[in-house]
Amino acid sequence: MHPIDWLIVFGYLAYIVWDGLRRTRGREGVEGYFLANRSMPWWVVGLSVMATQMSAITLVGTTGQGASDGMRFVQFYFGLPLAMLILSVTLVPFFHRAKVYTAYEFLERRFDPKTRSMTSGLFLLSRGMAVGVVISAPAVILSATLGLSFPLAVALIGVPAVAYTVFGGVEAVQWVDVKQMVLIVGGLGALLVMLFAGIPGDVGVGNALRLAGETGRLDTFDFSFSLTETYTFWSGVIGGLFLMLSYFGTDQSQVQRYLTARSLDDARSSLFMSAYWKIPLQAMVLLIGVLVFVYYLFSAPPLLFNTEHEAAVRAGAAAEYQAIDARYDAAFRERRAAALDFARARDAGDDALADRMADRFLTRNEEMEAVRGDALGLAERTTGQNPRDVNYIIPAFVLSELPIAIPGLFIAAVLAAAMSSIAAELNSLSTATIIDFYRRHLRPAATDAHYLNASRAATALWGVFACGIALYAVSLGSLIEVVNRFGSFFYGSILGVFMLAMIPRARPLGAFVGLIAGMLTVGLVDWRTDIAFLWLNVVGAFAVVAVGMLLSLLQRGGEDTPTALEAAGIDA
Amino acid sequence: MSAGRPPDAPYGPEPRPRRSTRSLYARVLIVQALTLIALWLLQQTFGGG
Repeated sequence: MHPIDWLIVFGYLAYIVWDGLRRTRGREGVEGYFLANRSMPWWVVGLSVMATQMSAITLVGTTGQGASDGMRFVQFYFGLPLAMLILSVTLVPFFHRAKVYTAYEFLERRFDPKTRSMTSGLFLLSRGMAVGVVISAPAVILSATLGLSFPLAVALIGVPAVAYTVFGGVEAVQWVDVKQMVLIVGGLGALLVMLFAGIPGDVGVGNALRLAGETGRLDTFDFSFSLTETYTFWSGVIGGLFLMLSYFGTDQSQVQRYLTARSLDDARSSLFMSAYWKIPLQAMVLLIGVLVFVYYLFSAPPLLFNTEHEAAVRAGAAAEYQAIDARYDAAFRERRAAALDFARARDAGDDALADRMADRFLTRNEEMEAVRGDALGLAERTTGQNPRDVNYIIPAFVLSELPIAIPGLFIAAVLAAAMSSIAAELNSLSTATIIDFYRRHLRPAATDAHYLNASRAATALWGVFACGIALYAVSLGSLIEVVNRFGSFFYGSILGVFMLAMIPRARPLGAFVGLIAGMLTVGLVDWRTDIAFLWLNVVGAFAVVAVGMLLSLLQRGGEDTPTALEAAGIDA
Repeated sequence: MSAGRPPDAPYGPEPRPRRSTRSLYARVLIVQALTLIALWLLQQTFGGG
């Protein structure tokens, strides 16, 4: 990268740390540290919720997915607006009125301490490991793309985020998130404008989008009802609804955002911001990928976007790689010629010729994809690693094709996206550790100052743990995969416990046993069937409710168990 | 119009909502429908794979 780009990156990092640290003043108590004294305006909370979800992998991986697979991934989010509506009339008012610090604290009031400890413990286990991946995944890409050492890339992402989270608490995290979101959305918008402007004048936007459409990249909707297909309209609307209900309603990294809101109305409005903007934003991210595909119709793309792997293959299998590269170059020239002929035929109004050119274009495109598949196979055989080349498409494009200052802004936006997710997760991990375990079980009667110091120490320890996991993530690969897979087993199940909490007749034993039964059911379904993962959330939630209600109905006594309204202190 | 209590005040009564909750919900559904229609039009106009 050019020195000006580096200046932009380091200038931004310095600004973010300074801005986060200056929020340290005036927030002395533990409620200030974890919940900003429940004083945040809705728009800050809303932007923070969106920044937390917008990870670095969204910026580089999802755009890459748009380039290679098109728009259909956006269906994953179709259940989100409805989830926000449901949460705003169910869990959000209960959490807000109960004045809890964690979502799991509410479960103790409604059920018992062991249900709270188990759900909170499951959150700590899965998020603790996942936050390491949130650091390592972009660090791997940045180190390969920028030529940095891997530990330095981890430090670039982890150290600023840990610094402002430890000292500034949730208020620093959320105000910094506002700046991060401005940079991320601004960066994406600039990229979109440059990509549209970069479409050759003799082709035009309409023809360029037609070419992308011919390859199926603009096909957003798949109405087929298949339980094994990952991204369809129905898996997004139904499976996605349950996933989003679980994520926004029961995951402390999200719940804590809107617990800081100064009123119930502000909490609801903050969630509606995601309901309005998440799908358009995600569509924009994917469209950027589609336009990068269009860009490379007229400008020769590299055979492998992962430069580290390309160098390894050039060194280890030079002759074979050169032969594939020559085939790729020939296929590219023919595809470009077909694309230009297609555009000319359409501009001349010759539909029959345009149809023939479209067929020729598609044949050449398939040839190119087949040759690229050969190159990816060679890279995997040579390096012994999955190239994950799709994650390198956008960074390679930005760094090699765009003018000075834009790469710096893009890398700063990737760092911003990574930091905003990490900061929120560290903050919520620390909250669950201190509130659900340390204060609940170990030191129930210490001073507020003691808890504040313990909270800062817990945030720092989680930060060190996350960076440690990130450094060893490559060698811990399979273990992390197991933990993440395990995490997907209980997402729907935890939602099931909160659904039970809303049912007056549900009892503590039913909730606890139902949670275990739900996770076992999901594990069994995943093991014995090919059902797509979004549907596992539905299975888990309903298994918990079914087992939990059955036990509750069979159980004698327990009439003194508080209802959700009583647990939240709401007069019925 | 300020909707919240002063930052460090003890918990007081819930402030009056800025606008009716029902109109907020309707707006969410309308925006969702418009977004899906826009994506559908993009697919219908340029798609064909």
